[in-house]
Amino acid sequence: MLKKLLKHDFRALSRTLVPMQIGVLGGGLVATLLTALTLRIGQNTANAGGSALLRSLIMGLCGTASVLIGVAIMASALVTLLLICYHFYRSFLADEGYLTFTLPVSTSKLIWSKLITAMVWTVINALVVMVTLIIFSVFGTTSNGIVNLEVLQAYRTFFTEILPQASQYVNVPVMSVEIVVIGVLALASQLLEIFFAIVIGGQIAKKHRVLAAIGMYLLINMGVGMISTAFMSVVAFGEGVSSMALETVPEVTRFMTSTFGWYGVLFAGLAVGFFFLIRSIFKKNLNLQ
Amino acid sequence: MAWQFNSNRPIYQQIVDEIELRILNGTYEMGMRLPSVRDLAVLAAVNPNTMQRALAELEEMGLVTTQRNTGRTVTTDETAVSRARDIKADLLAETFMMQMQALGLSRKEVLERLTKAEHKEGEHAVNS
Amino acid sequence: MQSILEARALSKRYGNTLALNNVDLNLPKGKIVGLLGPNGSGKTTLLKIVAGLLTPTNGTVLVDNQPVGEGTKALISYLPERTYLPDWMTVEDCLDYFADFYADFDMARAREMLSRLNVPAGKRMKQLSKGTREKMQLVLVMSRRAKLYLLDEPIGGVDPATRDYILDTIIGNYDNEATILISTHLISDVEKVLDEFLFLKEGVITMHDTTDNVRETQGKSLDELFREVFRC
Repeated sequence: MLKKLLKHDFRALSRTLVPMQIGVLGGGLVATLLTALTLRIGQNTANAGGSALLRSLIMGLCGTASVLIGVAIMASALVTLLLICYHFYRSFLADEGYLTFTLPVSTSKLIWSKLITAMVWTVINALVVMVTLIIFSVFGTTSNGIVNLEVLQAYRTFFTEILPQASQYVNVPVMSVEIVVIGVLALASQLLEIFFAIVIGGQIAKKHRVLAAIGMYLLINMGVGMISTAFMSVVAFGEGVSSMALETVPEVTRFMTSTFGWYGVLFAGLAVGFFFLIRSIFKKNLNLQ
Repeated sequence: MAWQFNSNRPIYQQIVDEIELRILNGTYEMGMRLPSVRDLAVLAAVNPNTMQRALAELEEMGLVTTQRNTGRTVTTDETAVSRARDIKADLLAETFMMQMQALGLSRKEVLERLTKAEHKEGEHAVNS
Repeated sequence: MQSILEARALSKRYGNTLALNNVDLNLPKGKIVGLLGPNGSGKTTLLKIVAGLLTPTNGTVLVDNQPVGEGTKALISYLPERTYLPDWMTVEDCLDYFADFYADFDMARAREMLSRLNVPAGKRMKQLSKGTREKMQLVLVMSRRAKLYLLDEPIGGVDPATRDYILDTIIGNYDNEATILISTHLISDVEKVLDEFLFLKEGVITMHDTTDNVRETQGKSLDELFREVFRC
């Protein structure tokens, strides 16, 4: 049943999110082109005469356009998140809840499906933005030729020099896996925290549910912040990490591994906590209006 | 068109009356296969359970028979039909006489009126 | 007789109002039952509790001897009194959705009913009129071979032709193993299709009897009885 839930959740979200990612990529390409154009016109101005006013006008327009597109691309992360939240709200708290909650499916699976689709789409959006930025940095930052060789060289350096150097201090594959796992846990706990705020907002308010959800989110976030700080300081003290000198390589490595590990535990704990809170509200306290 | 029912008798009894009438006047011919319970229920716009009950009653009266393969058919037993017709006609006649007597008409006056009514109906039939 | 729906001491409180007050109920299998009462008498609340959308304040509900949950939702086909299909879904999406989640969904039957309604498969819900959307929901709900149907005001606020269509659809798809619980305040229209009825008055069930019995013993229709009982 989880498969089928995922199928329909992806279908619902893809409808808006696929065009948006294409828009991000397309916008990125346009911004790259416009910036490259601006740089070229700028160089020509330095070399030759002609209508300086027209040139600076075009440059100004192109520059503004690329900046705006850049801002839109960054904002796409927020819009993706908002669309995910809206989908969650509609499925569970609006009229569509009549459909969702009468499905012969366990409450856990309902939440899992929403969480997985949300995570996958957040990651897709992040990847699309990253690819767009890389394209921009390579093609949109030079007036000599098509490709910015310096930037390309910098990317190459990362793989040929920085990574091999880092591997002298840390186990790069293990560290990468750790980062991915913690990233996934952090994302899950953050999304579930937002979902929980939406559910509570819907429970306590009859009218201004969005406002209530935002208010709840701020409140919950404060609580989570306090818990995290308390947890990490207690744990760090317990491990004696905070008093470490961090002067030698093994010390740094130990510090990082330990901190990473405890963050992982923290995020996992928060995610599990929010998951069961949402589940228990849906199971024991559901009152669909 | 849904069948019309009045409000003071159980609907299944009214369905029994209606189907009986159709069998007696030949709308449903002898040996004819009846529509399924569901189709009849949709036709009459009633609950299938009610239709089922009415048909069971008609079976008991001997007007409808159930075969394993062909479903329900109108009986081919002429004596059953004529017996049902007799019962119905007697009942109507009895009711009619009682109502006429209640009006204070004598037997002779009733018969006169019947002849007159029959005559009128004949004229009506010729005209139309 | 085996029961499909059983409620014991069921109560639901919203703030200071008691929407359902200590309701005891036992519905047999294979009957069409009317849940009759004026607006605000608790009909929708009762159906929503059985469907699993509301948590009762007190009491228990058993559907086919199971407490309300994942298992009972597979047995119940519920038609709420509002349109709940997402705007962007096409007719085909909706069919796919029901076919995916409900093992008892009869796709052929649904398609046949939709073709009679003249609803094209590619149409989105937001392109359909409210009336067509409601008929579409009825088709989806009645295309399931469920054990218990909960129909909340299926004929409220529709024209007579649509009302006939809806009642035809309900009768035409009914199989005599299933129980249909229809809530309505329009008694005369549904009276002919009811085996049994419940009168719900201010959250209390005041009468539970068969329609035949009312006519046989009281010589009056359910509609007449309803008007007497609920006279203002």
